[in-house]
Amino acid sequence: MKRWIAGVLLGVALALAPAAADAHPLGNFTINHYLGVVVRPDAVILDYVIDMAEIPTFQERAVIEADPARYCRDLAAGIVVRVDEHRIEPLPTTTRLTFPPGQGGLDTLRLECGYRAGLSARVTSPVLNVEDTNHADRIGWREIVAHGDGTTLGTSLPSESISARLTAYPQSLVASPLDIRSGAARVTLPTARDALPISVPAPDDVVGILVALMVAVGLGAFHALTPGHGKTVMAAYLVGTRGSHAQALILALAVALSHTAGVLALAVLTLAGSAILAPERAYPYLSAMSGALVLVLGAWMVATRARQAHAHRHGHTHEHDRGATSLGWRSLAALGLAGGVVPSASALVLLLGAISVHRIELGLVLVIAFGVGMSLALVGVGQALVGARGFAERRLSGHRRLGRALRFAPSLSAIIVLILGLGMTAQSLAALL
Amino acid sequence: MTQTRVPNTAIAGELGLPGGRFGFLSVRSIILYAIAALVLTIPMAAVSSLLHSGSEPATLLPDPRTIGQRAVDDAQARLRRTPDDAHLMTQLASAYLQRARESGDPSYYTKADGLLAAAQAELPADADLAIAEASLALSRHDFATALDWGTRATALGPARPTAYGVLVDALVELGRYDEATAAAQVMTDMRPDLSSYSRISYLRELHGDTNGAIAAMRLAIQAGPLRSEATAWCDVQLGNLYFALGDLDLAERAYRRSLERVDGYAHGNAGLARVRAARGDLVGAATLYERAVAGLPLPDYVGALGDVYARLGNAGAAARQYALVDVERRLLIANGVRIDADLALFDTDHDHDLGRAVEVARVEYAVRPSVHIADILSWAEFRSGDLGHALVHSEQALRLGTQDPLLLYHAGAIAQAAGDDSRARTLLGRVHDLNPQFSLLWAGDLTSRLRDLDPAAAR
Repeated sequence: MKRWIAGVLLGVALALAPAAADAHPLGNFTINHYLGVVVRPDAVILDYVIDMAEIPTFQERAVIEADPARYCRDLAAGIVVRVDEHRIEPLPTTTRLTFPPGQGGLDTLRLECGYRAGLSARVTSPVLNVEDTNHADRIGWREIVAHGDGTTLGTSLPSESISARLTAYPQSLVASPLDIRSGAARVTLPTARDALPISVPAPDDVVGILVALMVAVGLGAFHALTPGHGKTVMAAYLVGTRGSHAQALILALAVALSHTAGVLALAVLTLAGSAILAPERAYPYLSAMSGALVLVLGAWMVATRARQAHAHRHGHTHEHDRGATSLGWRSLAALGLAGGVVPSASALVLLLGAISVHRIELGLVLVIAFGVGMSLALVGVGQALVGARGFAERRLSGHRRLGRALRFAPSLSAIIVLILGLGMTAQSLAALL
Repeated sequence: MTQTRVPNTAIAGELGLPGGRFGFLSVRSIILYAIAALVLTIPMAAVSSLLHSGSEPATLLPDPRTIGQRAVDDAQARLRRTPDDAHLMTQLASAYLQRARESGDPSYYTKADGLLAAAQAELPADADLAIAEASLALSRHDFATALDWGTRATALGPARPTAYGVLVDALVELGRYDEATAAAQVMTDMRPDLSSYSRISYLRELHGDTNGAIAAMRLAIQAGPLRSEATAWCDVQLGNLYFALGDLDLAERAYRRSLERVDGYAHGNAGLARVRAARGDLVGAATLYERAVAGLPLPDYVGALGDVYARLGNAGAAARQYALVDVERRLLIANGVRIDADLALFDTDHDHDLGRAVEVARVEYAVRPSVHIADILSWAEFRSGDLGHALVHSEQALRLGTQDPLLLYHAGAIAQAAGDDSRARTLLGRVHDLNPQFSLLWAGDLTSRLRDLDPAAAR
């Protein structure tokens, strides 16, 4: 009795393959799903549409027609909505059942169910997950779209339906029927009126952030003391040899301020960029740019070190010193600003590192902390130098081994930054390609 | 001034300004460092790409996609790069046809059709395109068109086994068995694989060599990929062959294997349902048919589910399934597909508009006088009272010596009605020897006919 078409296996094909132009584009036994997700600050609104072709309509009609609202309620169990892994329940709000005419004088069935799921704003940047598990074994078009209403969504889900909510199926020959069954979105709820997508970290991060802040302050202080800031420290020293406590203070503050401003300016540029591009898409490029920036910085530092080492061997440094010794008040401040305005590698690494883990706001706070640490250290050094320059001079010149170790430090830090830059660039490029 | 200079230099050197002999930082060294750094970058990139490839563990885990889905993804990606490449269009169309068989989603046929139409303008004489066109025509049961394309395919690509494959299928369905056998032989000599062995198996079955058919189908399964729809389909065919021989255990095992290959395989579930029904477990059969129909509501399986419901005494549920068969018939007509002969058999079996059934079968027989169409036509004519024509077509149905219990039963019943008791006894006795539970609908009738024919029982 079984017909057999060897190898061609067309039993499946059934002759239900639509040959006529007016056929249901997806075949007569599909159940097609559309899930439109709108995220409001207080709730998730679902617009759920089921479009049944002729055969499932014939099979299911009696049950659905008897109580469409109940059917919507039953379908809700198959729509899984999670906010940060906590499932929230979609409650039916509206039901609309129609029977658009199909082929062969038969009806099709279109059921539109509206749902609302309350959103308790426990955190300001929750992750929303949706999954449609209804009719999982049936073939058909499956579409999920999402957009925010008073919120901003970071998501790979499209914001517009390409089938006009299952009323006009695209018939591209080069694309398979859409089969999207789940999706995720990072929801940014409105806080105050900031245009920048900055949100306050969740309370459970507080300890971590305090530690990070302390580390940043420490790094800033350490950075101010490292030979990387030779120029400014020397300026501080010059003030120390000839100037007052006030001059030392001003110089230190100018350096710290301009440094922080420089890094922040860079950060604002970054944020402006990310406001134009969707964060999910911008991050790989930002990471790549950051990597390249650190790389260039490292290369520049290494080159500078090499040049200075080279120049020193030929004994040209003394002119530089002499020029610096004749600094006035104003030039002193200018020197401080110039010395600080180029963002230091460590601060940049802090900021860019925070960006690469998608925590811009944390990066900004850390950079400010870094500046505070820097200025604290510089002021300290300046004051110390002014107060006890003779002692410092004697002590440092007296310890040959310490002196030699310190001479290697700048080159070492330059190389470390270079390697860091290479690593960041390589990683971001790997993520991009 | 001179006093300050000495400590000044010392502090400058120690706190960061150039002060020591940094010989390791010559220009040459920097170049060397840069090269070393670049060399380091490459493994770093490799490591980080491994760490960041969480979304695509494809290189480490088996690909969850089916063969057809992989072919579709691959061809779509390539066609997006070069949208005007007619060869790629053909390739994608073939992939869609494969995917359609896997998923049961007929919208892939529409897409394949559009692609092939577009490709044809560019490739008026291409073997692959002809093969794809023939496959598409076969899936739409347009066997005359399939024969045209198949003939063309073998002319354009005489070295392609698949060209002979579509040709064999078209010839078999059109009832031209000698040509089909010759073409299948060419194909098998070219490449003995699942496609050729399975066709050999079917031709042997048609010619009455059921054991030979089983051997060939086992070879086909061995040659097939472990987890593919094609191999699963061959499992189902093997199960059908065992079922025809009445070996329900082996049949069940073959159907189960198809379900291991393709999760929820509708044909496998339907086969299992048939085994259950033959064993008298009607509730189990209903469950399995329901499962098959939920995934793929073929009229065959919908009708069989209705029969099981009817046998269970649930007339309402049976009527709903029979009505669904009618819905599908209307859709076939609306889609411009010639009504399938299977539906004529369904109508005949259920005394449902016998006149139409005879008409449909007669039209079909004029187009393709195959043994199965002859069988359906003779059965419809017999049931509608046209014994004369039924006898003629019944003879045609058995012209190859096919040992299909249903064919033999139909012929036996017709012979009995015509008064040829000895022929009827031979034919119906063979059905009984093969598989007394060959059909849920007619097994009971077989027993009573044999009782009537048995001279010993007449006592």
